[in-house]
Amino acid sequence: MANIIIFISLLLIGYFAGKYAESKHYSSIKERELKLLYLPVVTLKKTWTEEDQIKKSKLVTGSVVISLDYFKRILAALINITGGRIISYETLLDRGRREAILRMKKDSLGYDCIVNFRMETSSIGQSANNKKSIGSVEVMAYGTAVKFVK
Amino acid sequence: MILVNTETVPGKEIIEHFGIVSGSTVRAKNIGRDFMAGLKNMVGGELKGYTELLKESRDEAISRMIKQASILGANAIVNIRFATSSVAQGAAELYVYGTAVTVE
Amino acid sequence: MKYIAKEIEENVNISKNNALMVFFRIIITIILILITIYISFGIIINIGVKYIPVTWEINITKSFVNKIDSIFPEKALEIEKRIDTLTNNNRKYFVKILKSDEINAFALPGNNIVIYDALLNNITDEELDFVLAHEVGHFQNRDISKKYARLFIFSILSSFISKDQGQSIFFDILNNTEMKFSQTDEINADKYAFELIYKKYKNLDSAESFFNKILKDKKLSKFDYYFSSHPHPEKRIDKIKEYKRLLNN
Repeated sequence: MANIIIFISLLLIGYFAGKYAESKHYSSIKERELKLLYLPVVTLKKTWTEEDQIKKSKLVTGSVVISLDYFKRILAALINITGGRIISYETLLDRGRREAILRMKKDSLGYDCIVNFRMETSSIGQSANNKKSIGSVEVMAYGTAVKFVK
Repeated sequence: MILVNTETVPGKEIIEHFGIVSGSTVRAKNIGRDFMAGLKNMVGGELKGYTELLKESRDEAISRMIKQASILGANAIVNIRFATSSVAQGAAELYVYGTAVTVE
Repeated sequence: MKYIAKEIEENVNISKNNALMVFFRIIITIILILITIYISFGIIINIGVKYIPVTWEINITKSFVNKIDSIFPEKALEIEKRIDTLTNNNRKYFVKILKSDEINAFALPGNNIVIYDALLNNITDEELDFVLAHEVGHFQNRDISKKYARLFIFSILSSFISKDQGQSIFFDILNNTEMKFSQTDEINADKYAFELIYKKYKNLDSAESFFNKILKDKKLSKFDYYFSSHPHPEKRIDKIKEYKRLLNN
């Protein structure tokens, strides 16, 4: 009996706390994205023509590790049984990626654009005995920031 | 929507770009197919269930990326890259990203 | 090339489904499936058990049961003989006595009865006859086989539920439902026991005194373990009265 009560209270805490944290994170992400929208990020190797002169360039990175709350974890495990899109993981990855890109952009303040952008995702938090656990994810975004002579 | 994984669309010129667009999906196969795949592990060979799963994920991720690009008003996505990572046993996460451009 | 800075309003990488709805939908589907499996397996086992002869069961369980070390082997043999007289040598039953402060006795598949010595020290010989007859009643109805077959199948099913939390919750719920259903089995085992006792003693005094002992000693909580796994003694005493009325008709 105690097990069930603990389980349900963890679920509730996870659900409400997770929902609050997620909405706060998303509003922060949207705000920063609007502010940094002027800085383009491309996967191309260059966006300039021969006439443009490059002043300086550097490698910029941004990374973040985000974890799921308890409710989302249990939901992911359930969806694993029935199949289909794991909706709890989608928001996790989306937030992680946008956050990593924002941090990369922050790293390149004063530059004009970021080229040759790449993204690496790796999942962390798979505990030793529970191979099926869906835990946290690490996202790293990196590229080359370039400043033109204007 | 034109999709290429080269720097430019061959034979066309890029006029303007919108930055990166991306699409991602996380999918899980149901427990029945998982079980079948587990059995297949003994025999070896292609795990058809998982091939199917990843193909569906890829198609969905690409369509999400195309949707983002069309919202921006682009007509091509260049320099597309894929990234696959395993989320858990029986679930696959697929991420596609590229640069949305207008070509002529 | 020119860069056009435009914001993407719609978040395409997220499903529009409400997480809570999906959660409940899946949970309800799984619960319904489990209930269907539980009921259908229960029915299959109840029917299938009739086709497993008792001699098979005895042979299969012999090697497991022989590993249990019994104390007081002579007393155990004596008790086995008592059962033989009670049941008119209907079938062979095996008794093992184990040392414990718990007052309890239970049955294992293959006509095996395990008695804790605390029980032997706290009841009279006549009351012991009733306890033995009760266990024999369980074996007659194949209750033990059914219970252990169900346990076996559900252990296999539970291995599909991989979360650690999920497994213990699954067993909690399973135990509670099993105990409720077993109350009927207990009453039926009692009925069988009443017949055997009445045949030997021509009265049901031993049964009544046993139930009263459990009732009275409840405050001292000596009979606690026995109490929790069987129906309330008052209910069982009612059944005695019912049986006596049937006899008088």
